[in-house]
Amino acid sequence: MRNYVLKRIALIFVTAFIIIFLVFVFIKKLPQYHAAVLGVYPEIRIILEEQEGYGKPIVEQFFIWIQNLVKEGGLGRSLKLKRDITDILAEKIPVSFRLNVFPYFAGIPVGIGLGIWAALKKNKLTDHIISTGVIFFISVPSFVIGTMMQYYVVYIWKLIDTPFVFSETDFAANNLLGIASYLMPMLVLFFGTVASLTRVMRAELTEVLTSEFMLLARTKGLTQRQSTVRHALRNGLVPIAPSLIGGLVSLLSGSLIIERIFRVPGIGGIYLDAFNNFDYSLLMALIMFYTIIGLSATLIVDLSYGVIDPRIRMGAGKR
Amino acid sequence: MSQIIDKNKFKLVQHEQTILDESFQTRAIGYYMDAWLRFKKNKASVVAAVILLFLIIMSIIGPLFVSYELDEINAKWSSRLSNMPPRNEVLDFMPGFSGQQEMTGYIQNFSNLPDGIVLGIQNVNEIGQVTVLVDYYAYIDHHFSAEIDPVTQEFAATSYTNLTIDEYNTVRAAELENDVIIILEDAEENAGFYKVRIQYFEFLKYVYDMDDVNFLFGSDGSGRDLFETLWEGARISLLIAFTVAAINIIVGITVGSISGYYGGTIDLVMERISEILAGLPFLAILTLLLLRFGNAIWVVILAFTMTGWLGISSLTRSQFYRYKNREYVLAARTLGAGDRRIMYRHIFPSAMGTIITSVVLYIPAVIFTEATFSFLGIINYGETISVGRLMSNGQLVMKDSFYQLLFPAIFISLLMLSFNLFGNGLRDAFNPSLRGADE
Repeated sequence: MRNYVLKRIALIFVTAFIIIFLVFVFIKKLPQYHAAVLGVYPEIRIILEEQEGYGKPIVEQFFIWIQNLVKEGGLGRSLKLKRDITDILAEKIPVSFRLNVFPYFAGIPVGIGLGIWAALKKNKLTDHIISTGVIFFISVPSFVIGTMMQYYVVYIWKLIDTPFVFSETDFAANNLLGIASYLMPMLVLFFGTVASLTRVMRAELTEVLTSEFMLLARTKGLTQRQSTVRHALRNGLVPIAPSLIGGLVSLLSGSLIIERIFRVPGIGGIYLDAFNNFDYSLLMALIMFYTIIGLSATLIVDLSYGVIDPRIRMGAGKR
Repeated sequence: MSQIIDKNKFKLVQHEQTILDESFQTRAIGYYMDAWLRFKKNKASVVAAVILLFLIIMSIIGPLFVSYELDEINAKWSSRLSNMPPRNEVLDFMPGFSGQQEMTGYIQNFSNLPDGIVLGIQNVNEIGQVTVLVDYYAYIDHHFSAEIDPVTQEFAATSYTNLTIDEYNTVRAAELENDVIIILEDAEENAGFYKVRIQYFEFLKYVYDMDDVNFLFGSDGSGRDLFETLWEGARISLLIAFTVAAINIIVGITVGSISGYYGGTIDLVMERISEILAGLPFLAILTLLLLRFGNAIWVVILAFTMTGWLGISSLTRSQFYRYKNREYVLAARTLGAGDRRIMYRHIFPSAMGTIITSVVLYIPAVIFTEATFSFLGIINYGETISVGRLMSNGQLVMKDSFYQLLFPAIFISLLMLSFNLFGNGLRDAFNPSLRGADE
């Protein structure tokens, strides 16, 4: 097990290194790359260019960038926001995380519960209602649900005053209304979590419920409840639990679409700004952030498979 | 002792008759027929398929229903028809299609309007402003021809139109030809312009042949017809989705079958490449390619196809691993079948069901992603407005012009719902593990 874990972690580092290098070269080779630096004072520009190793071969620039990152934890400076990128990330990641964490943890029990309920009542009315809800919330894009909610809650029912979340100063002035303004984006995220979780839970459980060991469990005298909780549920959760653990990592990255609709000052909004303003050093840092988040989520999912079900070794060699 | 029977007494039963295999008495049910029979049973999927077909056909022919071209001919006149609420003479009985709109302002702004424009007072707010329901089309016509300023009690500035000499002459000619009055208040030419008051809708009717100014889905902020824009946006979304799906399926199946069938070094190399590509966030690929090559449809398609084939490839690969050592493949090889023949005539048909199952839900996923990134403003086709961008435009004005958000929202939701339901039905129909299970 230890060798397997170490091997996977080493592999992740190699993959991340290659990806980041490729992206780095691609960004440096963009035709507008130099033009974006022009708006800055010449003196500052010279300092920045020296820091970045401008004019040297790209491979050398890449190692300078890595060196800065490893030695000082510095990711360079955002030219549009005129701030250190590490500071920006440190400020924005918690905002996205806070927004995502509540719907995620609230959604897990609800999703699993609904999934179990639907699977046990398969092809009955309850199942049909739950499944219809699931297909609705999975199909209808979150930007449709989000904007419709904004329109009805704010302009028709007039429950709250603004469709957007409160800024920090407004939030400090009125905590209660501030929290209320965060309810809508959280609700949209909650629906998404619940719908996708219900769907997998129902599918896994119906499959387990029809397997032969369930018949055995019933024949040896267990009640429906005992056999479901002790046998079916445990096996049904095996493929789901790892993805839930992996999802924890993704909470950091936030949701571009929700942050855009509700104007949440999180990491997603920063990415859009960096893209629209050609803020390349920020874009580089954010892509690195997303890549690492994605890779480590996959890693954690694979590893937790092994922890939850020791028979499974995802990505191990064939034996 | 046996009696010898004369040979001539025997008669061959089927002497001059060739015996062939008899054809089935019943109709043969092949794999696809079987899938179709099961698909038909799923009523929700059949309905979804019909809706889907309707949406696809409408995205092709929908824009042809609209004869309104003013926004393309002359933006000067179409900009006056901005943010018009939906109106249709047939659907008039429905509240959403009557061309009415709520307007809020001080009572003086509405008191000078002629009868028939203000349809009712909704409420009065604390600072004395009233919210009234107006016939917006009549209001716009009045606004650009005879509105009276509440302060000066004279015709407001908006009531006057600056016509160039050419335009003035055209209007005069149209008046003579049709025997109507368009110009209500004439003026002398001044620096190349005639500052006159015209009956705006009459002007559109006789000069631009617009018999009735009606927007079924309303118009947007620059006077574009939303019905036409919506279907044009739908067209581009579907075009991208189908192109991307086709490319990814072909590439995925080819790469997957080769690395699955041959295994060894090819497989190892392909796996490492896939691993690196899979680690690249789609967001990064899309944004970097757009920054490098600009906004064009092919760039978006390229971004989707960079990593989109990975899933199909790994699925095909695992199916090829599963079947390549089966006895029937060995039999085919013994009979002298080449690699290509074994791959595509023997293994691939076995893997087909599993591949179709995952591929049908891939198309709606592409539409979903494309719409999401258009909504975010990352994907932007310039001239053509995709459905996602229509929605993000609509969100900005939803307070007053909700229909600008509603129609694209209904469209994209309906498209996604029917695509997913259809895909689910198809998946169940092709999934052999459900065979015999009657549900």
